[in-house]
Amino acid sequence: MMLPATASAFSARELATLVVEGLHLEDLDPQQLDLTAPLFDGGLNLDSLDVLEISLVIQQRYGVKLKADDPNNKAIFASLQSLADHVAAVLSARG
Amino acid sequence: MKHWTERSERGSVWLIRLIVWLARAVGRPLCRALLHPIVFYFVLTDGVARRASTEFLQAVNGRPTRWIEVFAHIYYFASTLLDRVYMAAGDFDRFQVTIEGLPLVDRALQPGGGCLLLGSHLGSFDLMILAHRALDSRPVNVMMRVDPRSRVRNIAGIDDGTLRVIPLGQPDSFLRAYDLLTQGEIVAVLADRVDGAASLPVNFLARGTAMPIAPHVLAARSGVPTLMCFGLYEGGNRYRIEFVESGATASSASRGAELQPVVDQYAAMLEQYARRYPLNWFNFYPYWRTDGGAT
Repeated sequence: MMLPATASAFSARELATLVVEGLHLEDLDPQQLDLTAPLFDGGLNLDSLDVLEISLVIQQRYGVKLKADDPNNKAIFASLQSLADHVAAVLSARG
Repeated sequence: MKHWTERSERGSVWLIRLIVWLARAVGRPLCRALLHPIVFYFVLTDGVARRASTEFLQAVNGRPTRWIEVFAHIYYFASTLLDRVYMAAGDFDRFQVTIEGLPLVDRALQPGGGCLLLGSHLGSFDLMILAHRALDSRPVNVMMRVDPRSRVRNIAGIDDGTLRVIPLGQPDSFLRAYDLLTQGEIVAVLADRVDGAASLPVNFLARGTAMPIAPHVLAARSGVPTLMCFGLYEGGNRYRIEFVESGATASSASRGAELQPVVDQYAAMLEQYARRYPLNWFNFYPYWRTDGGAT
């Protein structure tokens, strides 16, 4: 819809690398990760604590604060791709 | 260990249902008398709870458990279930509640920061209703599993509306807790059951088990002080809310095995209180058989 320009500024692959490093998932190769796999229940099998860790890493690296009271959180945290899209959208809205 | 907690909860559903019905049908003194045959029957028929109680009491007393002690243990549990019905209905006047350590909470909140309260199944976390009253106007949020399949809360008519609940098991549960803590609020979380999450091995009552690391990670990341919080039953109509210092929070970036000292601290403090209030141990499942829970 709106993403071709911003997607290059912040790619889901880059986020995958950040997540693998941030969560110390040493047994995963960020280049091989399925970006559309669900983050929870199957897929990457992350939990709520991992979400906090990821949020802190994203905040530190990109200055984007993920909010607990965002009504779209379910969609935002669906996959690495959706999370990257969200961060990219926030960054581009900031200009 | 999820299946154990669920199974033992299922097992006690009829107990809870019966107690709630009684509490509403007859007065508390008669209810407490009727708890004797009910608990007697429960001890006879619920092998999981009976064995868990026997094992815990043996560990805490350092000698074989007598039958009457298991009975007393379950009776304490049943008594708190009964009283929760009254508390859920807002009927607090009939209870004598001692509160210790409230100044610690205020001191923790002083610099404008939040405070993480580490709870346990020593005593009842649902007694956070009492703690909530004790905490008066201080902003307190309770992390708990709000599982529609868990009928216990529904049966007991516990109104979560009186507490600000952060439901566990949602993607943003811990993010929510973090936000509230860093905004200067109080968050309470149970820290003695692993439930499939990341854990570290600890010694508890001289036996190996595992305890979760998530609560300690939350404290470390948000950089808030932690206190332990107990809601204890002292027999009769007496309850006790205690806030206790549990030692330093882990440094902000700690992870994995670096959290061992704070998990050990928590386990040691829990053990100290378990020795002091053994009949308040409400983990009625095989607590020490958490093989494979550690990561």
